[in-house]
Amino acid sequence: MPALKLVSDRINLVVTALCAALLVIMLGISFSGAIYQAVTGDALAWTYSLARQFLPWIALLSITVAFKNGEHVSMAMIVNALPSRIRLAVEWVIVASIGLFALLMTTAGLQFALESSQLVMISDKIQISQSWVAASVPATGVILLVHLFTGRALVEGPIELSETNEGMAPEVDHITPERGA
Amino acid sequence: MPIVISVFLVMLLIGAPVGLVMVFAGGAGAISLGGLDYLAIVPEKMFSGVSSFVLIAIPYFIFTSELMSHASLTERLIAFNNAILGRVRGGLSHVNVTVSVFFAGLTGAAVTDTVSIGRILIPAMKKEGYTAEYAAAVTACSSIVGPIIPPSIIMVIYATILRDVSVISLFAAGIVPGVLMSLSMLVVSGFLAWKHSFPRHAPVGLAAATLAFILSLPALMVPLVILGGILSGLTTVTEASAFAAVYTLLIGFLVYRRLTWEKVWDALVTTIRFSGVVFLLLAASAVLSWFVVRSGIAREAADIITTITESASLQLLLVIVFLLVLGTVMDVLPALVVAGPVLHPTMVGLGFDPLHFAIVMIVTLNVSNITPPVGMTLLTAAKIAEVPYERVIVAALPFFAAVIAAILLLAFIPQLSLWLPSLLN
Repeated sequence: MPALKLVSDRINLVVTALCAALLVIMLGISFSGAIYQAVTGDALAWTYSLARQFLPWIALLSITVAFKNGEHVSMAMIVNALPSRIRLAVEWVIVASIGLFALLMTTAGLQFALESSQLVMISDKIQISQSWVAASVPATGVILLVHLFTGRALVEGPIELSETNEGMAPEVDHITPERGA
Repeated sequence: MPIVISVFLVMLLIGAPVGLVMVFAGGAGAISLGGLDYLAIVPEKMFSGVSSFVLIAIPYFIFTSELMSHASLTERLIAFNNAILGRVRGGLSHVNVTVSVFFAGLTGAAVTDTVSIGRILIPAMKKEGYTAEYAAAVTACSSIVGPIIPPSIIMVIYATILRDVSVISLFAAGIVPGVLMSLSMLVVSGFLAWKHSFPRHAPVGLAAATLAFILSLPALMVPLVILGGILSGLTTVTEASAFAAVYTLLIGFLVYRRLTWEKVWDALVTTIRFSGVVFLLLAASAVLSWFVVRSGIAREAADIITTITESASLQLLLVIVFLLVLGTVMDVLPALVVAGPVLHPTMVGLGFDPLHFAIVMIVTLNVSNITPPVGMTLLTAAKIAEVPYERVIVAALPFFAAVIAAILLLAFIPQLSLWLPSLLN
C-alpha cells in the first residue's frame, strides 16, 4: 500500500504542476487577446476559443488536487460529534462514495468523450475535436481512482487513528486561512 | 423526489463533500426520471458546468488574491487608511473596516481579507489595548464585504448557475450594498469607540499622509483596473481578471519588490487547490440544477411560499430567515449552489426582480461567515487573535446586528442595489 500511496502522491504532484502550467498558459493567451484588443480595437477571436479549451482540464483536474488534499467543503459538524469508531466508519463510507463517483466519471465520462466528436473552431484554419477537451472527464475519474489508495486522507479533516484507540474526540481545525470565498 | 431528498440529507449529514452530495442527489434524480441509463447525464452536465467562458475569471481572481497576499499590499493599504483615520478615537478599529472596503475591491474573498488584514491589525490593536475578542470580531465582520464589493468570485458563480443575471450587473449592484454594510459597521465601531474610550493616534502630517497615499497607489489601482474596465464596457470580466493578475504580478515584482518566483509558485498551487473546491461545486450544481429544472421543484417551492403568505415582504423575509439559518450550518459557496437553483427561480416566479433578489441572497448568505457554529471569518480571526471562539461570537454581536439592519434595508429598498446598474445601463 505505501507504494501505491507513493504513486498517488507523485501523480498529484504532476497534476498540480500541469494545472499550474495550463493556468499560466491560459492567462498568457487571455492577456494577449485583451492587450491586442486594447491596442488595435479588433478582437483576436482565436485567443478566446483557445483559452476556453484549457478551462475544463484545469477545472476538473484541480478537483482531484483538492480531493487529494482533503479540501472539499463538507458539513462535518454532526459527524465530529459522533464517537470516534462510528466516525471512522462514516469516513470509509465517504471514501467509498468518492470511489463510486470516480468510477462514474471514468466509465460514463469515457463514453461522453468518445461521443463528443464535433469540431471546435479555434480559428479559420485550426480546428480540434471536442473529444480532446471532453477527455478531461475520464482523466479526472482515473486520477481519482488512483487517489483512493490514500484512503481517508481524501476526507476533509480525517480523524487520527490514535484518537480512535483512545476513544477521544479529536480537535478539528476548520480553518484553511489561505483560501475561502 | 423522496429518494433524492433522502440521498441529499443522508450524505450531507454524514459529512460527505457538498459537491459530491449534489452529484449523488442529482444522479438519484436522474435515475428516478429515466433509469440507470440517465446516469450518463452526470459527467456531461459536470463538463458543461465548468466550460462557460466567464468561469476563466475564477482562477484569475483567486490567483490575483493570492499574489496580493504574497506581495504585502495589505501593509500599504493599512498605512494609507491609518494616515486618514488614525487620529479619530478608535482609529485602528475604523481602519479595520475601511481597509476591508479597499481590500474587497482587490480580492473578492472574505477569508483572504480576514487573514491578510487580521495578521497585521489584530496584533496592532491588541498592543494598543483593544481586547483580543473585539479585534477579532471587527476584523471578521468587516471582511464579509469582500464578496459583495466587486470583484466577487461568488457573483461570478451566481451568474453562471442562474443565467438570468449578468456578472456585470451583479458587480454594479454590489457596490452600494457593500458600502452600506461598511458604513453600518463604522457606526457600530464609532459608538463602541466612544463608549469604551478606545485609543487614538497623533495626527499624521500632510507630507506623511501623501507619502502613504503614493505608496498605496499601485495597489489602489487594481480595483480601478478591474471595475473601471468592466463597468465602462472596455473589457469583459475575463479580460479584466487577466489584466488584474498580470498587473499584480508586475507591481509585486517591480514596484513593491516583495514577490519571488517561489511565492508565485505557492500562489499558483493555492489557486489550483481552491479552484478545485469551487469547480467541484460548480460542476455538481449543474447536475442538481438540471434535475431541479426537470422535476419542477422550483414551482412547488413557490407554491409552498405562497401558501404560507401572499405578502411579498413577508415572503422575502421568510427567505432571508431561511438563508440565515442555512448559513449557520453551511459555508457561503455550498449554500449558494445548493439553495440558488431552487430559490432564485422561485422568487423570480413570485415577481421579485432577479438582480435585487440575487444581491439580497448573496449578502444574506455572506453573513454565514460570522454566524456560529462554523463562521469562517470569525473562526479565522479568533485563531489569529488567539482568543476563545465563544468570546469572539459575543463581541461580534453588535456588528451582526448592524449587518442585519443593512440586509433589511437592501431587501425593502430595492433601489439601493438596482440604482447603479440602471444608471450604467
